[in-house]
Amino acid sequence: MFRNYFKIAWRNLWKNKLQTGINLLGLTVGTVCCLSILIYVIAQFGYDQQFEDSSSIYRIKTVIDENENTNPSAGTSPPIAFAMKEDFPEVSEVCRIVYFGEGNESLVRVSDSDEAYYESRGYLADSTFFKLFNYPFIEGKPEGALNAPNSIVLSKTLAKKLFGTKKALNETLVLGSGEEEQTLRIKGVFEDDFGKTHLNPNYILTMNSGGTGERVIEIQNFATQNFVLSYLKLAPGASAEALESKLPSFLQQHGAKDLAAVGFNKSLFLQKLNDIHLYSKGIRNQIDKVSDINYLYILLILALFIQLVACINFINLSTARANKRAKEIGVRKAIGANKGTLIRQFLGESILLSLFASVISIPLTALALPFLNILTEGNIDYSALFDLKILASILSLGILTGFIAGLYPAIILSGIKPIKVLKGSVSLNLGSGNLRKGLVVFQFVVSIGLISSVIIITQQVKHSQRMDMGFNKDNLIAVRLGTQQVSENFNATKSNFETVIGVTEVSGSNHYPSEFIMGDMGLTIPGGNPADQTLVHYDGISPNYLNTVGTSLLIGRTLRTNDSIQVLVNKATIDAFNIPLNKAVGSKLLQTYEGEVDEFEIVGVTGNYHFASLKEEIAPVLLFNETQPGWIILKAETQNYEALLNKLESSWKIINPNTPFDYTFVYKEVEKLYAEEKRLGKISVVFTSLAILISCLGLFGLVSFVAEQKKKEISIRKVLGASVQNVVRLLSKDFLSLVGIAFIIASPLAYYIMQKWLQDFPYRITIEWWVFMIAVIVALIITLLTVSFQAIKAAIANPVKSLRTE
Amino acid sequence: MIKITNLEKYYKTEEVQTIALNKLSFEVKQGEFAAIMGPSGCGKSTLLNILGLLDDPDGGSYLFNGIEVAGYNERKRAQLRKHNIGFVFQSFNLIDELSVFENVELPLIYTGVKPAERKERVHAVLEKMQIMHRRKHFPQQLSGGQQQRVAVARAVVNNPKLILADEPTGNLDSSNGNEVMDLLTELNEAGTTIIMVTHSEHDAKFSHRIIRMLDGQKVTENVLV
Repeated sequence: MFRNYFKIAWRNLWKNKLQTGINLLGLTVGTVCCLSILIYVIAQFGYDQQFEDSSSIYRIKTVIDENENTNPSAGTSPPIAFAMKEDFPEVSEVCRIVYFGEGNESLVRVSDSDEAYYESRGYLADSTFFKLFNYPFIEGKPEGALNAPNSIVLSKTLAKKLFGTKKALNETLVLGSGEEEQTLRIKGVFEDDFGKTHLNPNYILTMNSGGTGERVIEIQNFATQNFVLSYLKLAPGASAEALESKLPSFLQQHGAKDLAAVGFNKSLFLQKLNDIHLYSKGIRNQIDKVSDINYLYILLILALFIQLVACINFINLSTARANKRAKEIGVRKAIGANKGTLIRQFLGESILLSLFASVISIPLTALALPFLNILTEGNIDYSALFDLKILASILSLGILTGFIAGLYPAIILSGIKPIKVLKGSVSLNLGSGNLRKGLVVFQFVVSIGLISSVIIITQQVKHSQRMDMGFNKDNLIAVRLGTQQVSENFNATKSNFETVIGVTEVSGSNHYPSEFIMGDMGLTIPGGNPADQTLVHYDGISPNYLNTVGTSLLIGRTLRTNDSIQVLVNKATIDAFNIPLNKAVGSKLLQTYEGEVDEFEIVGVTGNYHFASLKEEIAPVLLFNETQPGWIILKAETQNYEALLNKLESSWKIINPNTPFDYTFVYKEVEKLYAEEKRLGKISVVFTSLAILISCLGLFGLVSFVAEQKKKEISIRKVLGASVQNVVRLLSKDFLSLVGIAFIIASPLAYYIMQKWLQDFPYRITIEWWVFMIAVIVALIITLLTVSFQAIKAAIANPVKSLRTE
Repeated sequence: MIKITNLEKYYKTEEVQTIALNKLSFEVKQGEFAAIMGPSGCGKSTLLNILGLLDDPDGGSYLFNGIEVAGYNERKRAQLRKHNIGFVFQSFNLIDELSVFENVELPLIYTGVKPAERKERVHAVLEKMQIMHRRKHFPQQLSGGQQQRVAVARAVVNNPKLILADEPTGNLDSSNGNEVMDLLTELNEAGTTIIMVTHSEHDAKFSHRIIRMLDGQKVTENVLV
C-alpha cells in the first residue's frame, strides 16, 4: 500500500510540474530560511556548558538603586566574593576577574625581543580561576598556575603568535612599557578553542601582580568600585535561591557603613553561568557581546512565518487543483478506499514533497552559510549542518511542514463524493473559498507588514547615519598612543605628524571621537547637597582638539596648555545642573570624595556630541587638559590615504621605534555604533524578499487555478464580446481586494510593533502614514504583475476549445 | 441477492425538490443478469449509485444478501463495497497515473491481499481479459475497448458477487462493445450477478431481464430467458 502511495505521489508530482515546482521552490526557500535560523539559534545555546559543574557556577549581579538608573551590572565590589566564601559554607569556591574591555589593549612582547604587539582581552584573575573554569592546559598545569606574583597564563593562540612552535612555559613576557612595564613569567598555556563561552581570555594575569590587581586586593569597600566580575561555585546540594535570600543581610553586615556614605541602595543577585549568554540583556559591564533570547524568538517567529507562507501555497494549490484529482479519488473510493486511507495517501504526498525540499535545502543552506555569517556576524561552519540535533530538526521540520501543508487538502480531497465525479461531471465546490481567501490575506499581511518594517528600519538607520554626531567624522584618523612611554612622546609625535603633507590638524585625547567614555565622577554645584551628585563622564583632550574634530564651542574659550582646574563641559552638563548658558563660564563644579573636595572651573561650553551608543541620550561630559593623551587625532586632506599612512608610520617610527603604529578611521568606528541596526535592516530585507517571493509563487499558482476554474465563464464572456482587459480585470479584482483587506490588518500591526522597536532609540524617526501606503502599493504592483501573466494567458485562449470540452 | 422496497431519493435545491427515485421496488436474484433501461433523467444512475453503496437512499429499504444496508455509514459501506461489488463505468475511470497492472491491482491493495498473491491474481485476470501484453502501459496508451477491458478486469479481480455496469459500451464502437458484452456474459455464466444500466436495446438483450424506468419508477419488466 505504501509503495502504491509513493508511486502515485511521485507520478503526480512529476506530472504537475508547475505546481510541484512552485510548491517545491516555496518549501525549499522556507526550509533554507528555517534551517539557517535554526542553526544560528542552536549555536546560541549551550554556552559555558563545557566547564565542569557549570550548573553550580554563578555570577554575582549588582543592582544599584540610584535615581531612576536601576540597570543591573555584572560588576561587583572587590571584597564581596571572598567574604561570601568565608561567610557561607555553601559557597565552595570563588574567583574575581577584572576585564579591561575589548578596546583596552596592552603592549606585549617576549622579554628578549623588540617585536611588540597590542593585545586585547587580557584578564586579571584570582588564582582560583581554573578551579571554576577548567580550561585544558597544553603547557604547564592549571593547579597553582596563577599563585606566584607576576605569573601569566597565555591562550594557545597568543602563545603561538609570540613563540611560534617553541615552548612558552617558564619564558618571560613584558607587558606595557615605561613606568607601567611589568615582567611576567608564563606559567601555562591553555586551549582557547574550548567550546562556546562568554569568557574569551587572550591571557590571564594573576591578581597578585601589583597595579590594578593590588588595588583590587586592597579595596575593602562593599558599596562602590563595582568593576570586578565575581563568580562562585556552590557546594554540592546547596541551593542558589536560599543563598540569594541571605545576601541582603550579608551586605548590611559588611557594607552598611559604606552604603550609608554613598547614599544609595544596593542588592546582589546570582545569575547562572549557563544563562549569561542568553539572559543578560541590559546588564552593564559584560565581558563580551551577549545574545538575547528575545532576539532569537523574533528570528524563530520570522522563520515560522516564512514556512507558513510556503505551507499556505501548498494548501491553496492542492485544494485548488482538487478537481483534477477528483476522478482518481472517486475511483479509489468506489473500489474500496475509505477516507482514512485517502488522507494518509495525500499526507504522504505532501510529506514526501516537503522532505524532498528538506533534502535539497541542506546543500543550499551550506551555500547560504557564509552569507548568514556575514548577516549575523557569526562563524558557523558547515559541520554545524551535520550536527545530530540539526539533522533531527531537518527531518522533523520536513515531516511537520508536510503535515501542516497537507492536512487540510487531504481532508478536503478525501471528502470528495465519488458519485459526483464518476459520471464525468467535475464541477465541485471544494472547500471553503473563504479559507483560501483568508490564507491569501495572511500572506499579504506578512508581506505588507515586512515591507513597511523594512522601510521603517532603513529610515531609522539612515536617520542615525545622517544624525549630527556633534563632530565631523570624515577624514579623521585616530592613532593609538597605547603605552605610558608613547603617551609621554605625545608632543614630539604630534610635531612630527604636523609636518606630514596632507595632515591639516593634529591633537590628542584620551578617547577617539565616538569611543565610549567609561570614566565618570559624581559632581555637585557649590552649595549643593553632597549626597545628591550628578554623574559626569570625563575625558582628557589637548587644547586644539575641538578644532580638529569639529565640535562647536558655544561659549567661552578652548583649553590652554597650562590649564589644570579649568575645564570645558558639554551643553548636557550645564543642563543637568540647570546653569544658564550665559552664566556658565566661571561656574564651579565640585567633586567630593572621602572628605576631600576638588574644584573645577568651567571656561567654556561645547555643543553636545555622541560618545556612546546612539541608543543612549547624550550624557554630561567634562573635558580637562591632558598632556599625555591616549590617542592622537588628526585631520587629513588627501586623495591617497595609503601614501599618507605610510608617511605617518615612518614619522611615528622615528619617535617610537619599538611600538607598533596602530590607527583607525573615525568614520569606521562611528559606523560600528549603528552596526546592529544596519544588520537588522539587512536581515529584514532578506526575509522580506523571500517572503514576498514565496507569496508571489503561491499567487501565481492560485491565479492559474482561478483562470482554470473560470475557463467556461471566461469563454462565454469572450464569445459575448469581452475584451482581454475585461478578463484581466475579472481575474485580478478579487486578489486586489484581498490586498486591501491585508493592508487594513497589517498597517496597525506593523505600526505597533515598529513603534515598540523605535522606543529603544532616544533619537528616532516618527512613523509616517506613507510608509504603509508604499508597502501596499508595492504589494499591489507585485500582485498585479503576478496575476496579469496568468490572466492574460487565460484571456487570449481560444474560447471554443473550453466550451467544447464542457 | 438484492431486494429494494419503496426506495426513495430526492435532490433538493433551494427552491425545487426533484424526485429521482419514487418508491421503487424490485429484486435481483443471485446469478442473475439484469438490465435497467429508460430515458435520461429517469433515475437509472441514481439507482446504480445506491445499489453500489456509493450513495444512500432517502427512504425505503435495501437488503443486500438479506442484510439491511440502507442506513449504513460511509465506513461500513466502504467495507461492504470493497469485498462484494465491482464497478464498470461508461467512461472507464482508470487512474491515469497508474499502469494497467497497477490499476487492476488497486482493489486487492485495499482489501489487504499480500503482494505475491496480488501479482498472481492480476496476471490471471489480465490473461483472461487478453490484455496481459499491455500490463505495463498507461491508460492513455490504450484504445477505448482495451481500456474498458482493463476496467472490467479491475472490477472482477476481487471476485465480487455483484458487478454494476453503467453503460459499459457507451463510449465504444460496436465491435469493442460486443467484446465487452461477451466478457460480462462470461462472468455472469461463471456465477457473478450483474446489473447493467444501458441505453442500448442491443446490449440489453444480453441480459436475462430488462427493467424499464420512467421518472424514478419502474414501468415494465421483461423477462428474456
